[in-house]
Amino acid sequence: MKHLPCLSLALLLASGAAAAAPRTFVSATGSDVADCSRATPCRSFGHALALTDAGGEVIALTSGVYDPFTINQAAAITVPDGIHATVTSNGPTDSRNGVTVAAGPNDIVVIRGLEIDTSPAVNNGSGASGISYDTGWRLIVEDVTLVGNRVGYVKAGIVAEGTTQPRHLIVRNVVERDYVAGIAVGLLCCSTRPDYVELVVEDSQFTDNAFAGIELELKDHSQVVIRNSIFSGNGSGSNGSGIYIVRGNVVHPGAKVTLEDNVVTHNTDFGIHIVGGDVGEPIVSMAHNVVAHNPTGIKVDECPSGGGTCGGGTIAYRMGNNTVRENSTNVSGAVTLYSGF
Amino acid sequence: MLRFLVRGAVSSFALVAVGIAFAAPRTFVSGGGNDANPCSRDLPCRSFTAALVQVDAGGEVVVLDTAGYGPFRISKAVSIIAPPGILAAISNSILSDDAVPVAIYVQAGPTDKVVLRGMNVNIQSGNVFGVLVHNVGTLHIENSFFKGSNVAGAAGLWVDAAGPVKLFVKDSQFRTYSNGIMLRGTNARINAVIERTRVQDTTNGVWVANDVKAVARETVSSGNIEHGFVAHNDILSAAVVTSLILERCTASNNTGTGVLADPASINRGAITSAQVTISNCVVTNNSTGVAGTFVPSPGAPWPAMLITRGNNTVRENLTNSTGTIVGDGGF
Repeated sequence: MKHLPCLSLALLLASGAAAAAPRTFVSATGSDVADCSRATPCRSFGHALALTDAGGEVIALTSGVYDPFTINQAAAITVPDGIHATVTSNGPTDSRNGVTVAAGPNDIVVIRGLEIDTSPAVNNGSGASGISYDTGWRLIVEDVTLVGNRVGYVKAGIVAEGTTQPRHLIVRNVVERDYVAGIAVGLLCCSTRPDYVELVVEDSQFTDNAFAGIELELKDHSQVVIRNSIFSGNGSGSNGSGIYIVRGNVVHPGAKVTLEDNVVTHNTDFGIHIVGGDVGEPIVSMAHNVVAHNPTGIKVDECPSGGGTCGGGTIAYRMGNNTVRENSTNVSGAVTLYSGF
Repeated sequence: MLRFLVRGAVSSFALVAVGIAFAAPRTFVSGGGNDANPCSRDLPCRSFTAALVQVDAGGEVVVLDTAGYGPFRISKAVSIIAPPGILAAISNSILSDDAVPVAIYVQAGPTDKVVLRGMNVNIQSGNVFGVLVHNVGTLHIENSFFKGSNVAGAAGLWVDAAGPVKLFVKDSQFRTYSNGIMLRGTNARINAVIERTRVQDTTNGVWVANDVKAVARETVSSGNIEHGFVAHNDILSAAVVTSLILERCTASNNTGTGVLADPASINRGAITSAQVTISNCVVTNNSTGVAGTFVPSPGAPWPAMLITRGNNTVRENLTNSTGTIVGDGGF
């Protein structure tokens, strides 16, 4: 009887079962039959996540190419300085998102330092986004590069749609380009979108997307701050915006959006396009932004473009310190002045 | 069957033996690499030039470790990535198609997208351009460092392309050139966004000319022997107005003017040729802080406009402002 623990351990080792660890590792020379330790790293993020404790961390040890993967627990994916780890699609028909976040309702997920390149997926039917944030309490994306190919309809650098679960998304120091939209909450793929979204975007760059740098269809009392970021070259032909914000439903008093210190330039239709609903939402406040060299700098439609009741309330505010000039039309629609504090 | 297998094996061996390589979406370089390799992650190449030959159009060349990788020419859509913490050094030059010495020469297709991230150009002697752009659709320069050897002749970044260009420069530095950044929209429009970039110890820090629409943000142009930021226009067409918008930029310690809206050097009549808008900027310790509507000689009214948002710190220059300054109260 006293030999049983040793026997159990031997059986465990023999069957290849591995215990979860607070920290696991991946390498371009690793193997998914390994235990994902520092000495014997795994080959894929997906396998490493399966061997990582909830709330643990997966660290990339080497530069190289890694498979798309899904995160379904609290976890941090970390690519440190000195490593260029790319998650990329496996050919033109690969419809997988680069990273799918399908975590629990209390889980916090961090993706740091990764490059996600879904540009090879040019013929995948249903599309592939860089990061699809389906569920999970909070997602933090920082120091990440997202590269798409502008092809197809259902693609975004980061998309938060598909379920009604609330999302809390922080995007910091991200370089994104060549998707349909840089960040999409609503409007992109699904009639189902978050009942509530809390979004903070800072120090990021959204360029050359086929429709918009950021497109937001906001419900209820969603709260958004977008600051210190670049929106440029978005749109195709005469259709496209740097930042596109519309009301998410018609029965709630409205979301709040703050745009501060952004540069919105060289987009193909509107720099900032705000569309309201029957009770006037969303409320967009703008301060210290540069909006220049667009066909229309700021466009405000207080009525829904698809018809329906027009609320007629004020939906766009300015602090009087934005630089809005050298657009073919600088401002179209009502924008109300507010004072600083 | 065995005969076919053997024949196939021989063919494969022959391919390897003669060094024929197939293009890949992602190739790699290393200080311990070899240009006879296929530039894979496990068998990296030694130079950017070899890795560029073997990468697909639209692909990516990744730097695995710190080393010198040599000057190179880009002739297709590609990203060249040295991640933070790895220094991809370039200290020599090649010749452009017009026989100009250059560290990185961009002569790609008119819609090609090129990304340069983490480049470290350090030229010891001669007039060598950092990046010379003759043809590209979109160019991103990120987290890169460019140092020339003197302030005569060569620019850190020179864009004068055959077709329209979208340019994005962020988190980069340009030192010891004739012009740190020179954008010349002579043949077609250049749309540019420059952010968190530093230009210093050049002749002119940032110079945009002709059909250029540029926004620079949180960018510093300092210690230059002529001017910090300049917009200038030599295009006769009245439809072309050079535009430079500076937001939260600093122009300091320049021997000439901190921010200069420079008039046309040809007679465009009274139509504005170039304009610079400054907002939340610091302009200090220059001979002249800001210079607006300024004409080269009496009777030659080819004005350039300096537009202020009224929220700038312009002080402690020998002359804080000259010419007519136009106000923009903001929105």
